[in-house]
Amino acid sequence: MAKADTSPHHHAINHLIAALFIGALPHFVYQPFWVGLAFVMMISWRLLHSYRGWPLPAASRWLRLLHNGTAALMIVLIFGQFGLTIGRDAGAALLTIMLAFKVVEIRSLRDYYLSCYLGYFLVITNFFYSQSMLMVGLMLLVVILLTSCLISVNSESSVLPIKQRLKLSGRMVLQALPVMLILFVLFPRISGPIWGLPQDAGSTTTTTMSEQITLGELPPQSGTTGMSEEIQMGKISQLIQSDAIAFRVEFENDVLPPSPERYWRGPVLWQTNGTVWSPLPKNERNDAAPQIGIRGEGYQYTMTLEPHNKRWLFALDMPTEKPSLVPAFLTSDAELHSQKRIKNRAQYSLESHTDYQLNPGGDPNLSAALQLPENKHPRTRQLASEWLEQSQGPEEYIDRVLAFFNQENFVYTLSPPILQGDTVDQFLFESREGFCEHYAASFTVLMRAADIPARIVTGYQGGEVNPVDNVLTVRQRDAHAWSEVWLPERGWVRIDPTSAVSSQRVDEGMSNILPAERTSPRLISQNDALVRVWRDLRNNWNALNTAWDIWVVGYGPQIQKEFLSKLGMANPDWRKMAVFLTLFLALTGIVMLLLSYYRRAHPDPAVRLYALFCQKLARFGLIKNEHEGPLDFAARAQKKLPQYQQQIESITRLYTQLRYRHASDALLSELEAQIKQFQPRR
Amino acid sequence: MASALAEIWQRLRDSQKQRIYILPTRAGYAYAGLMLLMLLGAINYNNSLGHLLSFLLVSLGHVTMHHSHRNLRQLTLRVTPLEPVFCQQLARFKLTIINEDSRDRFQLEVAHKKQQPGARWKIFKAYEPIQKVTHIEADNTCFCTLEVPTQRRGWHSLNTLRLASLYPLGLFYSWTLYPQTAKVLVYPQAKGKLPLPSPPAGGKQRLKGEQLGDDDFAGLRSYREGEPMHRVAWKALARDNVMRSKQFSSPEGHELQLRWQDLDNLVDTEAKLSQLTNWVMQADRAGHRYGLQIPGTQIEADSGPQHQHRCLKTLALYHG
Repeated sequence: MAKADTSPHHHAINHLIAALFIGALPHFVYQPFWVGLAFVMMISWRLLHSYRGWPLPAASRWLRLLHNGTAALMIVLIFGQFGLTIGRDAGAALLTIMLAFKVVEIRSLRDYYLSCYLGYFLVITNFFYSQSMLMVGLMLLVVILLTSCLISVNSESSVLPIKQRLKLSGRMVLQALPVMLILFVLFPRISGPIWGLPQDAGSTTTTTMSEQITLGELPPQSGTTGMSEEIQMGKISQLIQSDAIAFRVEFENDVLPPSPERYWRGPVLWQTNGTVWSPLPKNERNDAAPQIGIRGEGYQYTMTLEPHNKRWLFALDMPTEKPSLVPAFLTSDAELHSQKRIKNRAQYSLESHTDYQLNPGGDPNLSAALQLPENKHPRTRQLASEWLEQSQGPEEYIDRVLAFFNQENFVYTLSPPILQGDTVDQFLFESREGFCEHYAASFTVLMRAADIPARIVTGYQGGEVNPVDNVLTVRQRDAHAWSEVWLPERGWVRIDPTSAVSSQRVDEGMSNILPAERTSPRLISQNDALVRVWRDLRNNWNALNTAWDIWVVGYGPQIQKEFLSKLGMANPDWRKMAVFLTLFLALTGIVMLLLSYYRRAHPDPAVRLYALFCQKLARFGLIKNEHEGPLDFAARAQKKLPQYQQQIESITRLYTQLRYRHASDALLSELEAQIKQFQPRR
Repeated sequence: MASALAEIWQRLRDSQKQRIYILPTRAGYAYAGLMLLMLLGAINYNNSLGHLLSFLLVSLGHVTMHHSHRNLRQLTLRVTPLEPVFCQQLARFKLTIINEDSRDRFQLEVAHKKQQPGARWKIFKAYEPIQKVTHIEADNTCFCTLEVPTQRRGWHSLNTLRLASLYPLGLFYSWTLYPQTAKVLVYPQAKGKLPLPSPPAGGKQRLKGEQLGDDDFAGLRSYREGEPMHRVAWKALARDNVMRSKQFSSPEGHELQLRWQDLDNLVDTEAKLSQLTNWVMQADRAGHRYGLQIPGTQIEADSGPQHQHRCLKTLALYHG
């Protein structure tokens, strides 16, 4: 409006560059290296212009060509790398590069503002990669820096040096926090997407900073690690490498099932071709609701599931109630299925019973539980028929098989040898080194070969309870596979062949099997005391992260409703939220307004004492005009209160002496005493 | 606590007297657009911290508004007119801005309402910036001089003053108006080529070169601003560093009458007034005693700055 469009001072530009560089730092990690390289090159150009007087692109046609040409090349590179659709990665890369190229040619105030605004935008793109607490710290820092840049083009550095500007912008951001929090809590959340998400949007934020270090040991792969629909021998062991969180469970009243019962039911696998196991296709399954009989008390708990872009929901074996908040149903094989893919962190409350009977009266899909590929596993089938002949019934046969796993030289290992040829035969008779999936698969084959209906259930087993907040955290490394066999009258019975080989895995959980380096840094893993301290620290940190992930990062429509009803709002909907939002904003607005009229005490004690004196006189209608000098005021006061002539004069003399000649403590205490004594009465 | 609240309340009430206007600038609207875009992005991606950043920026905008408002309130303006000027010269006013708050003020722009305002709705074009104040400390006062071009003789009153600011972020433009009554006298422009009229017949006539004889010297007097340089007593200045001006007493008979009716060949009233003004200046410079006769007013012959001012004021305020 009344703004002169002059070029900002190069100090202001240098500060902007510093702010943008810090804001772009995470992108150097997430983006291909040349994005960071281009960014650094471009800002260096501008810095060299400020400090060394290097010419800018506008200086000559060749430099302009160089600048525009490189920009065009970068855009081509971006399309080359990410394809023609602008997704999250491409968008972030484009923004980073655009910003750097814009900074070089800032010529007017308008350019400067645009760059600052793009800088704010850069901060939000960081959140598409990580929503950790560290990132919020970075956000606050960059917002303060960028705001101080805006201050610098609206003030003069001679009166407001950099330190003052930073102080002011810091104060402004601090003052902005209350309204921000109110908006964050009460602004009615809408569940996105509004216009659809790009392909790569799902792979967000499941890993936080500390966990990525372990992830780096994996062979490079994109996307989230998580359960896959089918298992192939050797696939789960890859998952075991990841410490990423799969879900967190909070049990009501802190009543947790004993650790051998912590089976987290996931996809159920029926079909096999000898190596690959997969679920029963829709058209081949009978979708009758499962019959579940329960005994004893159930467990009430709340699950917070990290997004895995699949439909299934994990539940403690066996869920007996539909989850609240997430629309879902139980399939005929007792798999909990969500209506929608889990693209964002989901939270749902459930009830489970660990003492249950599933379909004891028969299962419509029983025949599928007997399917075996023809002409495969000849040695296994041979063994099965031998044992079946020797056994009195299915129970005895099962015991026989489990004893076989237990007594023969089977080894539970995280890095089994790669199986070739007939995987089941090779495993059972030759390598005998394997992992849960090997045991579950070969056990199931052994059952089916003996005409006992059996299937594989995948999911997680165990989990770690954080003593700080009693939240059970299940990580990808807790991934597990076990078997279920159907016995007449008993229904589907869970049998975990892995426990026959390594009871430790099931009783104590995965973290005790993993080498010590996985749970504490290598340097201190020899020292028990240090390990304990480390574990305490880690537990507290994890509890904090859990709270952060659930309540801040996961704060969406669902958790907002839950949180607000916990605060006492009955049936929160957007209308109520809007009313409360307006109310709270008005309230903070008023408080801020009043605070802004608060007058800081004057730094000079003499002035404060004199104000007291003026207050005493004000009772007689003697109000000192703003620009009346103390002497004039004294003369006026003396005329009105002649009986106090002496005192008024003495106080005024002391005050002017303190204020305008020299201040001393003796004079000050004299003034204080006199003003205290001064009690005018009519 | 209660007294602090009462004090705050009083200040709030006081500040209502001086209304402060505030509007977003173009950068401010762009900022709002940015926030909206960010919020949409955050909603679309279900990104909770994206919401957080959007809300932080919304809130920051709100805080900026408060700061912008606060930068202008509790400021008192005092305008003191300075010396009279001739038309076409700059009329000068002393401006005192008193900061009554315990906070510093920055980047204030002083503008005055143009004499001929344009269209009514162009509220921003109606004012012309005349001074910039970069900083006023807390509980402090800032002085500056306002210079306003003059186009007409007579009383030049300073129009409404506008104090405006973009501080701190340039997202909001806030302003406040101070109607002014201070005025400066503007003499007519001294111009015209007619020679000084001769003294009336019967009096002693002197040639121009003889008008400043040594015997006419009447003494020294402390120098006043605006007196011609050749009157300065340089020797005396060199002696004791006090600026004085030489005074001449015109002998009797060097009495001029500057008369309206002598200017019949000038048609335009303003031209006549300008010529008379020029004569007054010439006569004063030459040390003559002079009188002024214009329709409706007659001033007896006299000399000295008081007399000069009286004559010039009469000319300035002449109504035809």
